[in-house]
Amino acid sequence: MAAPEPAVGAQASEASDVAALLEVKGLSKAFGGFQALSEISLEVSAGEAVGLVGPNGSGKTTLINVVSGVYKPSGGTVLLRGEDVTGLGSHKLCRLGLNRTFQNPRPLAGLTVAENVALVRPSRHSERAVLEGGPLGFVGLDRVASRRVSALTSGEQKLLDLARALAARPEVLLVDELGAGLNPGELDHVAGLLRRLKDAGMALVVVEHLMGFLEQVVDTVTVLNAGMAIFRGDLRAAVADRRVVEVFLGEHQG
Amino acid sequence: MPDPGPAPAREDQEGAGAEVRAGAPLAAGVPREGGAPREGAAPEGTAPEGTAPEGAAPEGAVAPAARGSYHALPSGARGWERRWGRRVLPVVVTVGVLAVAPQVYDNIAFLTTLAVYMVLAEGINVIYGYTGYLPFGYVGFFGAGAYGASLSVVDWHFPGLVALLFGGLVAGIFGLVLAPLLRLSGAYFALASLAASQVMYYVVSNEPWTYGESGMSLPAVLSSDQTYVVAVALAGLAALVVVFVRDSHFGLSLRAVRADPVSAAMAGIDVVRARTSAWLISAVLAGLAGGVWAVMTAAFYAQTPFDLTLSVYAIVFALFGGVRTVLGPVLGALALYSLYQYIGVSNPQYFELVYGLLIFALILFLPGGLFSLVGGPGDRPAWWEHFVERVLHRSSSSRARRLGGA
Repeated sequence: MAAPEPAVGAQASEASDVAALLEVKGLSKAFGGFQALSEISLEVSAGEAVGLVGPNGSGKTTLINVVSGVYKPSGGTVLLRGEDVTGLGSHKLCRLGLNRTFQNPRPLAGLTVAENVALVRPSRHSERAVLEGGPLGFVGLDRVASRRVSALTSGEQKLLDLARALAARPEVLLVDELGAGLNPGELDHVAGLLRRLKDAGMALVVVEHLMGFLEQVVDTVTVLNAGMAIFRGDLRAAVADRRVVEVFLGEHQG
Repeated sequence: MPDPGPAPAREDQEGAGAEVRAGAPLAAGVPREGGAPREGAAPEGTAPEGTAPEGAAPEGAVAPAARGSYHALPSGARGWERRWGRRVLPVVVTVGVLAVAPQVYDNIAFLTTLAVYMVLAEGINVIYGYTGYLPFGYVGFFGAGAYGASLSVVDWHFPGLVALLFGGLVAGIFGLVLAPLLRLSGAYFALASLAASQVMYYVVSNEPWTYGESGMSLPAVLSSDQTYVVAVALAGLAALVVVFVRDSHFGLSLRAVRADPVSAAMAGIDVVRARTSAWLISAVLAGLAGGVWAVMTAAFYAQTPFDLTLSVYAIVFALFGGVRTVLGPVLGALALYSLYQYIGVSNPQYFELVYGLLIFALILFLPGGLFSLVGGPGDRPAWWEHFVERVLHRSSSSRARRLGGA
């Protein structure tokens, strides 16, 4: 493993002008005859957060799953730092600097909180500095480090999932409905964490239903419906967009 | 032991961006008042390298060392003495019990077989305990090792020890060939591995080059005492292997994969490689055990080393003592195989009854095996915790430990 690069933020954001950290081009995924994703494109640069919204079943989590190597895509490419990583397994992507959280957190039962994080092989390529206090300290779970995962609340499990992802020192982090099921105080805490990661130069893709939460975190949103991207742009513009409103609220009558 | 990589230098990221405080609202379960997170707070990132933030977990070592060594974790033993005790003691006990045994019960064939069972039970421990795959056809590797060792002696005149190693190698090769079975899960895997061992049995028992018709018969390459010494050493090796699996990052990976392969992969673990490694380790252990058994037995037909009872016994011994512990399978084999020797030969019908009842009792009261009684908090059965609390009047300290406080 190469020695960690001393510089972080400034260089990373300069590089981001040249090329996006994560580029998804024409990504498709079919399950049998069901087209879950068709020709989705997405770009995220260092220090940028893109929201991914859409009704249930619109393909948000499928997109995260395909990009993070849980599923193999049926078509299209995924570029990480300009490198083609399409179809690579999760463990390879993890080491290349891409990580994710799970919609239903999947901390490893039977292990302690600290073990869940110690387990992670950090990315070799990442230039991201280590989080001060470690991933557990960052999310605020260091007090319960020696506890078994089963003893955590669901909110703590979500934080642990985030800490597990951060332990890999990713440059690109896909966040799948981290806010779902959290109380308002917890939501603010998590939104603050994501903003700090973004400010530190991480590229984020944030799947979320909660608009208030998204507002705090993301710069732009991509709206999915039935596996297709129907809108890309500012969150406020999205909320005002006729097609987007139709998708969420049904067609305007009369 | 693979090192999880050099501990990364800890750098101050970008002032507030990396500032960290302990006591987050989620951890405390208290909603934060005032929406804004603490960017505005004074950055503490200027703290010297590796310094745990104020008010961090009692085991401040967690964060900095967590990635470097699994043993730096708070749940692990603290001092190196205790850590090495945990590593060396099980091996010493295993070898010690077998070394003293001939003084107590002078039946070298029985004791050699006992050692062989200990090795098999540890092999089951590695594959079932740490990955969750239950190989009913585990005996196939034992048979492969027995025949590999035997044929290398008979056809190529390998010396005894080399023949044993060759038996392990042959079993390892079969393990590699059968590794795709790991794509199956649960009962499908159990049955497929069973089928594979039966295929091996039918081939071996019918082919002329394996002396299927006439039976295998070996010249004496090792004396019975020498064989016993080798068997004891092998049992010690098996215990050592399990110590490694338990304490290494590899073992942690296996437990993670067992809990959730998708999440484990996202943590950077190569799931296929981890499972295959465990499978091969367990196959080679069985092959070596098969080699020892073949050298000891000297004359046999294929039905004996491919007898499914061997799989079943190995599994029962391992579960009885407790998988995911080092000494569980060893002591499980010692207890149950001694029982078998004591009443199983003279009164087989009572023996089956006692075995059946013991297994029932195990499933109902000690699903984690005998060793769960002395296991860590959370491993121990609830009724045992109550019992211990009542008897020893240690309710408060014990409860605190269970909650992970201490």
